[in-house]
Amino acid sequence: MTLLTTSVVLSLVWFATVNLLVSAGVWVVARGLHTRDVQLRPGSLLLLRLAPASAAVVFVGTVFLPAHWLFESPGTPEAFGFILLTLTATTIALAMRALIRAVLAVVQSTYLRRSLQSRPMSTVNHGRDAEALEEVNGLNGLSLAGIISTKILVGTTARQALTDAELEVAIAHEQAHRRAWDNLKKFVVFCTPDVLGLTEGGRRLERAWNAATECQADAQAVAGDPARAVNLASALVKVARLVDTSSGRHVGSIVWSTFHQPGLLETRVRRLVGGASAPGAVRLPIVSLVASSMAVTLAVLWLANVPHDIYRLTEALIRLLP
Amino acid sequence: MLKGLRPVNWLRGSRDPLHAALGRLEREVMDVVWAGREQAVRDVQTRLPRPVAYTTVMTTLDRLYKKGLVIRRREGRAFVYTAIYSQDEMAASLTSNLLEGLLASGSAAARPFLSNLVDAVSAEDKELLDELERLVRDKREQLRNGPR
Repeated sequence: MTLLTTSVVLSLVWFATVNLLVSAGVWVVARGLHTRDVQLRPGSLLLLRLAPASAAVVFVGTVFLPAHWLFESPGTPEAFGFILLTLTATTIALAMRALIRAVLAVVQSTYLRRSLQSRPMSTVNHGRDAEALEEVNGLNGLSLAGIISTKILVGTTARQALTDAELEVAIAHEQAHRRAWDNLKKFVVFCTPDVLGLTEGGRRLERAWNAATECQADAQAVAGDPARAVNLASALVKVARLVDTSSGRHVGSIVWSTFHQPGLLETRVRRLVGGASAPGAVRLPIVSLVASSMAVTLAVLWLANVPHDIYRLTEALIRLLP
Repeated sequence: MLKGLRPVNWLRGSRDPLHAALGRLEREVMDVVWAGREQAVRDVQTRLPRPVAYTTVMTTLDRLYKKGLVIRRREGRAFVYTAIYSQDEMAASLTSNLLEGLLASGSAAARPFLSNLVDAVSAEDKELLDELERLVRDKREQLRNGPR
């Protein structure tokens, strides 16, 4: 077996192993979460949700593979047992699932985007995102459509039902999603190859993250102004009624942000009316913190010669596991 | 026996008929009432899992009283409330009422009923929307009048 073949197979094995271990840890944390836990920052929840796949990729890419290439002698005969082959198959299955979900999400989003007859909406001044506004006939509510290149779709019925102030703050909510790249994040979460996504704990975490992103977008749209908060709450209730009673289309992709989400309506309106939607004062640079701590951890691991231990552990597992 | 309950919506994601037959706040209030013995409005309000106005809790308890789900007696100036049926008794009653009605009506008569259930899946809880609209209106009014 060539070094390349063993590298690929053992990388898949380690990906599945780390993925399973981190998924189990996150699953324990996620069991206590609820969509009412909107005080949690969306960044932290997203980090937790993506932790299993990210940790697996980082471990394989920065610890296992370099160690394997460094310490493994080319041409060493290797034979993999049932457990290692099962772990390899698990990673392949997760990757296939992720790929299929990615293709489905892209196809669905593209098809929906093309099927909606929209026209630019330019009668109201909406700042730098004005070019991203489109009005759609017969569409209920508002949506942020697309994955990378996004447009804010405003249904004609919603435009007619909302006052100018309500419409402005509702659009500001979608603009907040757009600036935060929330559709792209939804896409990544939807397609991430991990075991956590197959569990109720993982789905609970996704719901909590979704609730937190909605509340954060509300807070950014409102910008601490009670009058804007009431207008946004009013817009939410009006759009909810529209979706209930109107015969218009209620379209949306799994990776689009939608203004009206029935499960979150009450929480959001109560937060807005109760003044709990003010943006947090402290914004931690979560990504930078995680990246730096990861870099420090990796440096420590290499200095402590842990990759060599991982290599020896791998060799032992190949010999010992059935 | 049980008056004024919403049609049981089995397709709303819950297997609990009580969850489907009562409004969300009604269900939460009933959960609190079931958890204790006699409780005043203030007791129920403080034990709810989310902040709800005192008057909203009072109205909800009054509605549950009119539906025949709780009894009340005056204690001093306030009412104290107790559940008439246990949680299991009420769930069993709702389930059997629904099934008896459906089976007795025959397949043709059951079709519109089932169709309504499906329609109701996408329908927002009107009662909840009314309550939220009232909240928004009150807050708007409060802002208009300035801080008291």
